[in-house]
Amino acid sequence: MASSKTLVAAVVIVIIAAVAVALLFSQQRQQAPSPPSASQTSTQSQITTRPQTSTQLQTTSSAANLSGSLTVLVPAGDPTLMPYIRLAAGEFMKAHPGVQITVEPVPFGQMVQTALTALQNRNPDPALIIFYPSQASTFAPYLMDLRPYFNSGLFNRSDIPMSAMVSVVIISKNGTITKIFGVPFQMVFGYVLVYRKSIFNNATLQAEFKQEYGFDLNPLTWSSWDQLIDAAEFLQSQHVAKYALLFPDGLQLAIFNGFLTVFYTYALNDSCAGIPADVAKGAVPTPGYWAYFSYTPSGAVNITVGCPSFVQALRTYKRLVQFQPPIDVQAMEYDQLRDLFLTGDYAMVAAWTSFIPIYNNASVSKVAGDIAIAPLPGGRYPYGTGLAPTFIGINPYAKDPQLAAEFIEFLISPQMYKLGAEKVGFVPATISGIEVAAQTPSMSWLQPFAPLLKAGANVTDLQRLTLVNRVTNFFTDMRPYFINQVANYLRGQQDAETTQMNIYKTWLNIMKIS
Amino acid sequence: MRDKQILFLALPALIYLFALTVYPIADNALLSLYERTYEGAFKWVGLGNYLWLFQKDPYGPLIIGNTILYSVATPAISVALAVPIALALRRLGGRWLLPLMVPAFIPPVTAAMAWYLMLNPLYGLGYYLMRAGLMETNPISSVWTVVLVDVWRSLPTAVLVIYSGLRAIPKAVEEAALADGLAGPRKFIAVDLPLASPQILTAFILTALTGFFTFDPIYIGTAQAGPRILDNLAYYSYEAFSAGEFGYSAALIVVMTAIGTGLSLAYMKAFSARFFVKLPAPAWMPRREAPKALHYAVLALDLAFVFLPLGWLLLMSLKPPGEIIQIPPSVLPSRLDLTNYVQALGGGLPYFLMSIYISAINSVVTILLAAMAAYQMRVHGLGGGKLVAYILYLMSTPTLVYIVPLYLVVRGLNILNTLWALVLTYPIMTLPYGIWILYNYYSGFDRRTEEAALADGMSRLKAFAKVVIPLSRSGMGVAGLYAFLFSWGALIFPLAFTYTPYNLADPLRFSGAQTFSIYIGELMSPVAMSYGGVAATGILSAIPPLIYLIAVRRNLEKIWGAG
Repeated sequence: MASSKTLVAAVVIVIIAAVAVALLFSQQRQQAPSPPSASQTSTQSQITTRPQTSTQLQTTSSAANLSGSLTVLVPAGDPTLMPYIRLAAGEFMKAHPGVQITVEPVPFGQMVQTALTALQNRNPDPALIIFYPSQASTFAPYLMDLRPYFNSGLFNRSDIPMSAMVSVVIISKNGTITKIFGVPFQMVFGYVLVYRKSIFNNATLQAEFKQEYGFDLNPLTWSSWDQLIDAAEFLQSQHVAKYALLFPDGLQLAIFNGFLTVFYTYALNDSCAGIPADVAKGAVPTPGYWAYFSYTPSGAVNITVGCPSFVQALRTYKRLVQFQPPIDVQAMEYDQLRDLFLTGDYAMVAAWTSFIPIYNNASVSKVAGDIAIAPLPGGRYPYGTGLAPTFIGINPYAKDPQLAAEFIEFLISPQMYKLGAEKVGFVPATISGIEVAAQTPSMSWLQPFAPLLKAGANVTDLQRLTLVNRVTNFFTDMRPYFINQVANYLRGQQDAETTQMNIYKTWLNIMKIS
Repeated sequence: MRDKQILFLALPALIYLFALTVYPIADNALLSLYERTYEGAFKWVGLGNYLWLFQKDPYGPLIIGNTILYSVATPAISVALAVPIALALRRLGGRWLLPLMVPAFIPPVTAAMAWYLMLNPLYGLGYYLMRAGLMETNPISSVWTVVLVDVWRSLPTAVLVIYSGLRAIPKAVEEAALADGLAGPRKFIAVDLPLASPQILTAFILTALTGFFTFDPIYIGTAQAGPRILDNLAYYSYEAFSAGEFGYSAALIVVMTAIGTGLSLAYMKAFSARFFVKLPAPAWMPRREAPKALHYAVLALDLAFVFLPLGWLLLMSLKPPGEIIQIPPSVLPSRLDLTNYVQALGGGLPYFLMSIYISAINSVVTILLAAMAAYQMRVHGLGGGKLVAYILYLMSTPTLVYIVPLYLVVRGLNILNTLWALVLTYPIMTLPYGIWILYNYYSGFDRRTEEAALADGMSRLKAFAKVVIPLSRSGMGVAGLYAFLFSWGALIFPLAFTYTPYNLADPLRFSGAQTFSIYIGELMSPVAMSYGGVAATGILSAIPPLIYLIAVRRNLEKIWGAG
């Protein structure tokens, strides 16, 4: 009896203490941590502007005395990402013998949890965190503001297309940039058209196609989805491969990104969508989830799902996926786009450029050495191909944020990009980096993508482009509903107009704007 | 004095549990009343997250429905299948139990991948099933495939528990039934079923937990089914957490633990009420023992069910990379390729060793702490029903709740990324389950042995150490087995508290503590998924738990038969 009373008393005390601590912490949690700004942290070297013409991986004398340690959190699995980071770390440590860099791999699926746990608890490690656009809004409050480094010129703002930055820019309601929390350093283009050279370079097929359709069997000359579909129908009829075209319709994410690729090109010409595109000024934003949202003149948020171009895109999308097994048999998600093209059963695939090293790996691929790449739907404007940059951000509680920033600058230098392209086939994220990498023989396929990057270099309507970041339940609620509705359309369970209306109504009903 | 020693024995486990669980759970409950803004602040929304789940979330009701479906269908099917299998084992001999137990000791992600690869409609046996017209759509996209994978994993436990119950029926009862002319199905209905009811109930709740917490089949099947279609609350809360919706994730966890605890309490009530299943035996039911051939047929079917996906996984692990994804798929490899195993053993060695260390250490820690607490709770009534309810509540709480608060503790102690971070935190996962296993075990423990020791002048502490523990070896062995299994497959805690692999160059510092489950996760990267590598590591990851299983197999029956 006595022991029970003592036990109860002990439990009550512990519970009261725990609830008190919980309340205290919840009070502290009213605001995200206010990290020290870059300008306030102590530095071990002066910030200098790197000479752009240097061709050697050397540092200026004032930065040569860098010392300290860094840990970089890297998602595992990308065939070029980890090798590039290790390569850059090695070169940086050679240039700065007092610096120690540790690369910390983390499984892709658990990256967010691992990084968040460290950031929320203000742990100084990892100092640098690599993340993707879909994770940007989750990390936004916790990563360091990098504007001082852009302002000082350590990061060359003009070399990074704004289209590649929209996921890591926070804009206030009056349009002022209030934070930049990441730097794009790797570019993945997607979706792009990967096609079999042996099929498309066949002179007989070229002649027959030209005669029948009136344009060239050369994806680099195309500028519409109709042309791509015509080519696929032709190739299917010629039985040059088991399937003419493999197009993403996977139900986790591929259907969402695949549809956007199509919708965007129609939306460019749809006044309802109001996309701020100025070709002459090089201010055509690349496709992104932002295209689904716009501000009304009164400042309210509207969605472009209700525009005519949306239905147009649905119908074209359905035609694009007709050349592969039905969605109910095998939906073509990331894995399938990567694996099935290797079998040699497909003449073309809409894929991510991160698959190219795998497609060219002769030990697993039957199409190794036989591939060429073009933007979608072709090599000419309008481009449905979007940018999927990989970002790197700084932990505001890192022991030496300045050192971290210096490493980022090194990572995105043209010299390091050139080395990365040569050694590991790394695709840069800057304009100068793409141009340098495209000169490497194995990376010459990058050449058509430099214009694509430049086209989006000077976009100005940042409020519009970052509006999607304010939709707090975009990924958890809105995207899943969208995917399932479009899947029902592809299955033939409902028509395009019903699909549009369902998405439009539900999105308006559940959208949460912060 | 003696009463205080009862509390003293249980105190280490209780202090550990209360100190490390109450705050995270309270914190999670508070967090569920907030919503994170774009700027990162937390805004008070009161019950807004709960209202959203039930009123506005397009998939809220579906996800709750899936949670209940998985929690009910999995145990219902497992128990229904387990009964004839247990009867077959009783008839044919318990030596068949060991191979039937294998799926329970395969890491969950390996189990899901094995079924996914086997049923794949392009490069698995699913291709031939579709060609034969036995399948029309991709089976991966169905909630029933999730149930199938969970049944595969939980059926061995159900078989074991029910078989133990059947074996525990006193011989005198068996002889009396025979004398009455009862045999075969009629005897089962009239005698076996009522007497094995507690074990059937136990099997139901154990397999329900598998369904309740299922995660990996959903993770793998979503790409074919569509988002949210297969989700349960456990998976959805993880998705919400990963998307930065911490308040909503917390609310989902609160709902989830409420459902799980409700299920567990219902079980406890039925168990305490000594609920007996009594069914009328129809007149046409035979009185004769079923032929042995029938039992062999049942056994053969179960063995096929167990080993078909494992066999496919083994074949995948031995195939050259180009053959794994070829269409049409080949069943047998053209040649045996051991590259995947070489890579798994080479690259995975530090992770493998760390998993061995932490699983072994945590098993010992769990056994000792659980035994001390469970004995006092069961034999001396310490804490009463409320403490048991809290233990059950902890078993229903996902480990996601603990990682942020515990990170503070681990970091404060300066043991991040070391073996000691895992030693400190792993018991949260395994101790409640260990206490519950031993709580059941001690229900049949003869307390007179302790009283005799006390009468001999021993203190309660000494009596426990010198008398109770040696007599509890079988129960502790089983509790240790499940602790080993949970520790071996754990992913959330090592991801949160470690960030580099074990440094073999300086082994005694135990710095770098990533586990084998992390290594498997790295192989499952979407960009460079290595099916062969995942298959090989999956096969390897099954070996240590299976070795442990072989060592304690005799005790498994005793513990579940004791209830």
